[in-house]
Amino acid sequence: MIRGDRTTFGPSAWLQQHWDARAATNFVVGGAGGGMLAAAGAAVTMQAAPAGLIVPALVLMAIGLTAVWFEIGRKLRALHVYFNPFTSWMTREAFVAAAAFALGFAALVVPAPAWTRVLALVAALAGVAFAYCQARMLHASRGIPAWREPAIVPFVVATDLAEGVALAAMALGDGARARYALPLLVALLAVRLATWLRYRGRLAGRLTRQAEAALARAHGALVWAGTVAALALAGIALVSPTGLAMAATAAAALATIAGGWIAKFLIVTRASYNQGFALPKLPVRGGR
Amino acid sequence: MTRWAMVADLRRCVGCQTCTAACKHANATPPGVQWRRVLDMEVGEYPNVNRVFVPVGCMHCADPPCMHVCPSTATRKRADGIVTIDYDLCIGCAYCAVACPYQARYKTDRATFAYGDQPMANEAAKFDPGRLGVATKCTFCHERIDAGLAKGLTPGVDPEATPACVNSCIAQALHFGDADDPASNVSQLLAENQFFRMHEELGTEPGFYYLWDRKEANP
Repeated sequence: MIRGDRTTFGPSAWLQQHWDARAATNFVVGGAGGGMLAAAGAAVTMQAAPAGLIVPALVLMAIGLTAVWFEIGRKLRALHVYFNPFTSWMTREAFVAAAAFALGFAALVVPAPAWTRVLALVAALAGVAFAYCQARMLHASRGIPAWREPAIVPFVVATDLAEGVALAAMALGDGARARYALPLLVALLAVRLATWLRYRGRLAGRLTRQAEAALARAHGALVWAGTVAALALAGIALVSPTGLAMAATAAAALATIAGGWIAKFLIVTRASYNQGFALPKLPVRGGR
Repeated sequence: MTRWAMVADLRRCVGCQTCTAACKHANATPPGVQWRRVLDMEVGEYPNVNRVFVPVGCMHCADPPCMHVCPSTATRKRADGIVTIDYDLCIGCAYCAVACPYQARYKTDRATFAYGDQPMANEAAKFDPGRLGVATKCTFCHERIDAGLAKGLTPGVDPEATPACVNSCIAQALHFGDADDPASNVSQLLAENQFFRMHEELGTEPGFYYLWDRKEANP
């Protein structure tokens, strides 16, 4: 009887095929929309931006949710997604999305500016909650080691918020106002990098070679484009005259978004290997 | 209480896949879908190589991740431990499939049959359009269990009330019964043998046990 020094035996893990680019779009684009809603709502509340800034955030969220709708097998039953708020983060995400759309729309149409600011603030909170729900959705997927790692939650929330601030800064267009967002963007980039390094560190040596390779590619995009380049461009924007500052701000925002989107896409579609099967013991056959 | 459970004796399984075929026949699952399958694992290095055959499928966990993530409440757990899917509620989001650590769930979007466009007799008899576009998995043949219990039969003992895979096993490697009944067949096997459950570290508490050795006799 073979009694190797391994503690488990089993066939190789394989890449999950259930959630493809359509599901990934919800995390990539929809998550950024949630982050942008948070940033836009806060900016509207502080009277630093017009209420119209909420619109592109809601559009991004809608794109993500529509992409998921194209993936589900029974499209006419989509409203069944609301049936399990007690334990399902997907249901909670759906409720938060509905609230975000209602609040965002109300903030746009309500005639009283004071109410606009209040509704925008609550919509901003809904944006954060939307990002949090998506992060918890991944964490609850116990079949995928790269997703079930608890450190994925702060990373996904951090990158959604960083992307949201970057999108809001780009959408503002006005160099002077966008420059106000840069310190916040820099802080969020630092938090995102810290959460990413923690996430990767906790998974080190625990994934398949292919999943590790996918995360290594994500690491390159997130660190070099999404952090180093974005921080350098943000620094240029902070010390430059207005014209150059606008261009540098837009470039920093694009770098932030690109790093986050590539990382999330790779996590959902390429690092999502299951753990296969494992035997902690081998059968003892025959007499002893 | 009753806790239906399955026991696979890894010392006995010969990897014949009769259970796989019996399941496919009983449930008319389409090509590529195997609610019950047997893994063929090769362990070790030449010349000390060993093959192990491992039946897998839905583990009917006591704490099923698939049920917790299901947004539509289609996945539920019965009082007797069997995890079920309501095909009329399921939206086919496949969240349960990525939450299952045992790769036990399938989703097929169109009807396919073993031999081309025309279904075989069992496929025609069992074809259910409600199973398209939704999650499916092993049911522990609960309709057989329920019908058998209604007749006063004992699942795991009386074939009419026992899952098809267990009935078909040529080596008596698969067993089914009530793990909460100390006198049941599965309880006896678990008492007399050493066992483990798949990915136990995840805390899902599977209702599927693997026997790997007899228990050491008391000194």
